[in-house]
Amino acid sequence: MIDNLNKKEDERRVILEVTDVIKQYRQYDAVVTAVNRASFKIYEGEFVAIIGSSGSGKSTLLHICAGLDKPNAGEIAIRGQKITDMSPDELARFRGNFVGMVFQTHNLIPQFTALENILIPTTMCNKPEYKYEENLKKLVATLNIGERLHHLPSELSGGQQQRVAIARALINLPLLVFADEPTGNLDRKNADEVLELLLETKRVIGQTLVMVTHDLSIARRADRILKMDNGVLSPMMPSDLAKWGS
Amino acid sequence: MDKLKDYLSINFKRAFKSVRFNYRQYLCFFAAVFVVQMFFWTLTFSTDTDKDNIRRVAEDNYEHHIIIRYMNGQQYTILNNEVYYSQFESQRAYDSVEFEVYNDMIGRTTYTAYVTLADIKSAGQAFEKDFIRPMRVNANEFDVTYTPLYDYEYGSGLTRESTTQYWLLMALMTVLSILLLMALYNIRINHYKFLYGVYMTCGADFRKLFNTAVWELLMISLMTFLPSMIVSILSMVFVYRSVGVAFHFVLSAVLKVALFNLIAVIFSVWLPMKWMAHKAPMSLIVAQDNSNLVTSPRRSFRILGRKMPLHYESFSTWRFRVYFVKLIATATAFSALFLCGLYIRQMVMTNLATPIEEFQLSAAEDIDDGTVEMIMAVDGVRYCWWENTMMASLNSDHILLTAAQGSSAAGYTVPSEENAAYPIATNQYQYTALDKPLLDMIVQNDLYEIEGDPYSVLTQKNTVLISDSIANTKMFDFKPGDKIILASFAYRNGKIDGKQLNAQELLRQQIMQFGFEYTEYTIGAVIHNSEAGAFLTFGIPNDTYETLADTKAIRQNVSVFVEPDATTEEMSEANEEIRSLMSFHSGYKVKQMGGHLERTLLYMQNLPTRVMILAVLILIICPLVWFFSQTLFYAKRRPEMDVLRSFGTTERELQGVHRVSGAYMAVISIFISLILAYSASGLVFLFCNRLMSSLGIGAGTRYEFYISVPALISCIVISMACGYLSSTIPFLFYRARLRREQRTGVIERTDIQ
Repeated sequence: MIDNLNKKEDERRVILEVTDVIKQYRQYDAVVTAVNRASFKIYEGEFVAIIGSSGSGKSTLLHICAGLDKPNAGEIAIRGQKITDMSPDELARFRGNFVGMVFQTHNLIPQFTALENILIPTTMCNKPEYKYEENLKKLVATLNIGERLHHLPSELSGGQQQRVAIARALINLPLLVFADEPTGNLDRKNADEVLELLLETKRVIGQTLVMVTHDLSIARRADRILKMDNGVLSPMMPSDLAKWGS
Repeated sequence: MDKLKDYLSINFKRAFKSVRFNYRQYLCFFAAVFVVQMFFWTLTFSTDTDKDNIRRVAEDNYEHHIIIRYMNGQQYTILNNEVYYSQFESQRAYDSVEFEVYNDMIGRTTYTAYVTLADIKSAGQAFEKDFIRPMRVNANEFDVTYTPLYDYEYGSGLTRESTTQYWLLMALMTVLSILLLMALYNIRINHYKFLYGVYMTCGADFRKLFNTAVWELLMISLMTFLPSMIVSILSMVFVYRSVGVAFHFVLSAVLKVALFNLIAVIFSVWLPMKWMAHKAPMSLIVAQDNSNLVTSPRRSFRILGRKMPLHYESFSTWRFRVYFVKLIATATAFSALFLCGLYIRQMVMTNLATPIEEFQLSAAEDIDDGTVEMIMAVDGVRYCWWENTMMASLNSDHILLTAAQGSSAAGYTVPSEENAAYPIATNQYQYTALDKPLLDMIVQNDLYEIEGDPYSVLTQKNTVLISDSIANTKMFDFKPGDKIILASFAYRNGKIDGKQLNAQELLRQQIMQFGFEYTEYTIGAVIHNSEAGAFLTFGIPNDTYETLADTKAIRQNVSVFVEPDATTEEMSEANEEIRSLMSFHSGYKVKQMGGHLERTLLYMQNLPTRVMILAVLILIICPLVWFFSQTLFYAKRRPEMDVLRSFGTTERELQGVHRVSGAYMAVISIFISLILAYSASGLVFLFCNRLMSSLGIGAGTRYEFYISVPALISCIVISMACGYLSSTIPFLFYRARLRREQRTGVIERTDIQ
């Protein structure tokens, strides 16, 4: 049975492969291990949730996977390309082409309008084969931000800012979207809406979604859940979720 | 007392901790406070040294307080008797009175008394009352001179001038210092709004915010006090040593500088903090990033298809335009002030190079040509000057001009229908008698910039030498060969009430009510740079003058101008020689004006170097403002750079973002520098050349508009370099941080709180 399952998984294409990743920080005289020998694979089209308590290292792991941070040891490959071996600039371009990032705080650029913020990634990673206008229209319609496109971030609500941040992460049609607690700063209603939108865009565009969250209702909707505990990553069955939450 | 001690101790300790912990934030304030203190030290030290110079010069060159010249025998007897009778009084006004007898060439005897007063503070007036006043019963006019020694000891004359000048300049410097510190504090507040918003949310009111800021700045002031004093002393020693004068230190300077420093600190913080305390905390908290510096667009750019970094940063620059323009204007304003400093330095040098009016000759009748020629030949004498003038309005006369001649003098003319070809009338001129010796004096000494032949006034009938400026500004457009009409009063048709009318209204009434005799005059020559004054010169031969002014053109008073670089010994010899030459004639008198002494003291002040030092100090502020503001601005843009990086921007492109921004800053700063430099120098020109002359201050000096081209280019280059480097250097720090992060694996905080 397990052999069959493994065979079935291997038939799917691996989009992210993390092998023995270690990340340590030096804090004064002590060394803190944020990520301790994490290894896992994520397949195309999956929605994987990484849960864990605050300070467990889940955001650090996500940043390392997205190429925003460097591990002390271990390897990370996206579509078979080892991003840990890339130079900073190669990695930057790679991120621009294949990775989308949604931060917990929206990190919109204050001097640009919502529309401009969404389109900023196209200025550096223009993929000529894509029709951005169509994608933009689709994102704007799906995320329901059409009326706020010409407003500055400071003129938008928290939910609207996060939607713009999602649109910005998806405008380049990335294969892999990393979301670092995208609903962390939102109320329940807005959080549900944002999640629905992420799942909707994932379905429409066909991306892989890796999300860090400590919201169990969101984690429940994931295809797979990975649990982070003091830097140690382990798979989690949905049945364990209730127990963990309690 | 203990309470005060505790209060000071607690606040200074707290401020010290804050400044030490945030020393990077305060680096700019350290530099600015240092500059401010340098202003104060420089002015205070130089005033103290100048006063000491006045003392030394007065004591070295003068033994007496009062000199009374040209007393006749009767006056001498009165004074001598007064002195004799009071010599045994215990509290007499004088210490000593020495007499000298002069027998001039025509056998007339005059007496001179040299008086040394007992107690300068009280005896001056007593001597005037008891000794000088009794002599005035005699009709003969004697001459009383209070020497610079009297002025110095009494605290009047140059000493008082120096003290007044000091307080005025200190007030001006305090205002400038407040503006500088306020500009920096505003920059700080603008970038740290978030932090202040958090403080205010936690209950900090104006008093708390103000106190914290003032104590921090006072702490900084305390730390820079001694270094700035040492640097100032060294620079002052250099300034004075270069003109052979000893630097003089007075302990009270420390108190004065501390006081002005305190005033500057309190006022520079008060206004920005007051402004901020009125803001709602939330409006400050939302400014965690640079969103408060963005000018609202209401319209998006067409970003699709645009490239990094040129388009990206061009759009950003446009959105931050108000912030950038304010920053550039603030920073370049100080370079414009530097140029103003150089302009003032130029004015000082112009003044130092101007011949000095040192002697005034007077006579009951005409001073003859021979005497003037002999005085001209005395060593150190540059030229002699005399004039016979009369305002045309006193005669109810006026001149008629063509439209082209008077079109830019609206404030000094009225329309006239007396002659269709000459529709403009003015009476803002004065008749000036000219003769050959005077014209020779003007021409040979190159006293004016003259277009045309000035001697034509003497050789051709109805020809005039006319000036074109009023209050140091060209108002009329005259050319040699032009015609003007002189309207001289002939008769009265009606009555006018001149008491209620201004000059123009009076002329309008005169034209309506009076009859005139019209004479066409040809302009023989035009003076383009006449001294300040409210009237044009209407130069005509002596005989014409006597007809028009109805008074004799005589040389009753002659001013003797000496070389600007004449030595004290030369002046002493010239004094003796001129007095000897004048003694050939009955009733000829000489008065020494003391201009040369003032000039000597001015040389000893080495003002050009001092002004230069202050100007350079002001210029130092320019990069301070640039780098302080831009460092904070780019610190807040670090998250933006991180975001760009996370979306695929390469390091090279990020560098490009900074470079493009720097290029924009550099280009914009050229235009703003030029605008501010010319505006500021223009204001100085208008103030010194026009406003002051129209108020009658420094009316004799006419300054040209001046901008030092090398200095202007230097300012522009400095502004461009600051603009570019203040945008690109933050990238070096950002890149270093990236490198550190890559090396150590530690993500560093990107905020500036």
